[in-house]
Amino acid sequence: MTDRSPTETLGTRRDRGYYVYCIVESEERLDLGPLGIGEENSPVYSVHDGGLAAVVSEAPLRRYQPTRENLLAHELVNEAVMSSHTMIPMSFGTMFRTEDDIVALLRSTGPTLTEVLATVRGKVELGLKVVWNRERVLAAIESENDSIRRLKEEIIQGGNGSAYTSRVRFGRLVERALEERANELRSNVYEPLRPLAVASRSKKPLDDNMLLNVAFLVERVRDDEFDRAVGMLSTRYQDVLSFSYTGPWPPYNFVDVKLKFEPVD
Amino acid sequence: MIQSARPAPGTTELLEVLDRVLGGGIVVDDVPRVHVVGLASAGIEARLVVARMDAYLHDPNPEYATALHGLVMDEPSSQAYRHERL
Repeated sequence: MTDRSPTETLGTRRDRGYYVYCIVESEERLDLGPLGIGEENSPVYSVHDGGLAAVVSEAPLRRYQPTRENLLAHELVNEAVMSSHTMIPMSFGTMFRTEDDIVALLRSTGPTLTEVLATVRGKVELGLKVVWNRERVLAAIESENDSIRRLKEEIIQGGNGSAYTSRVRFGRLVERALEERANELRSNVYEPLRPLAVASRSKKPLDDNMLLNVAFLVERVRDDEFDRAVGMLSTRYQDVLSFSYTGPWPPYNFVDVKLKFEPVD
Repeated sequence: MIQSARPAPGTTELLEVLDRVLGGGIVVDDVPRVHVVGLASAGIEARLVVARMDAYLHDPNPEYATALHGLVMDEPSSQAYRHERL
């Protein structure tokens, strides 16, 4: 909590900078109140160039760690902005030294940012993670699949002496059946949702039991429709699947803008 | 089973945030979290330019089944911080 860096405790003017939360299209100044990252709860406001603005707060110039407090500060500001503006979120931890630097950013990357803003206008990101109950799926497979069931009975009757090859074969059959079932469940959930979204992005599952980790970009006007579709799927597969459905999020997964430094000739 | 939109910020919620904000959105210079940009003030002869831009209006993963089998899109750096102080 009190891991103040030397620069921070000095507290001189030049050790301070501006934390940037997101870019919005706006001619009017935004004032979001004392939501700023860090312990000072600095006011969050906007820095403008033309029709673009960066939402910022003044803060000690340092590297912000992704702690609970810092992550939530970043996210809560972006959610507040998102409720009233089309926005592109900045990646966590981006600081600029002066307001002039931020104006320079807006100026040099303006056309790109404007294009991206147009793309995400009127859309929200929704997150869906689907985890399966592997044991239940396995039990169903064993009762439905004749060859697997017979092989299992054979192995049980044979006790410890049952043939090694039977056990290996059993293992392979089960693995294959589980994989087939996993693919089937993935399609059954993913396919009905895909046409309701503008875009979707499948991400790395967080663990072995996670079948789907998908971000959807959905038109705000189809938000309710999407909710209903997810709700129906969740009910239909409630015996074997758990759904974690979150949002609306800023479009983190659908904006891929990388900026780099280039020497000026 | 279904978590309605915006549950109270608990661990799940933080993981969701973490999963997004590190390396998602606009990234400066390939080094997430470490940017202290001060060109104009420091008199450095450089400017920020766009190195890559993509807004996914198309589905970047039409072959989702393949993608879900391990060939997933890169998620830079988020793994490394997943357990930090959460």
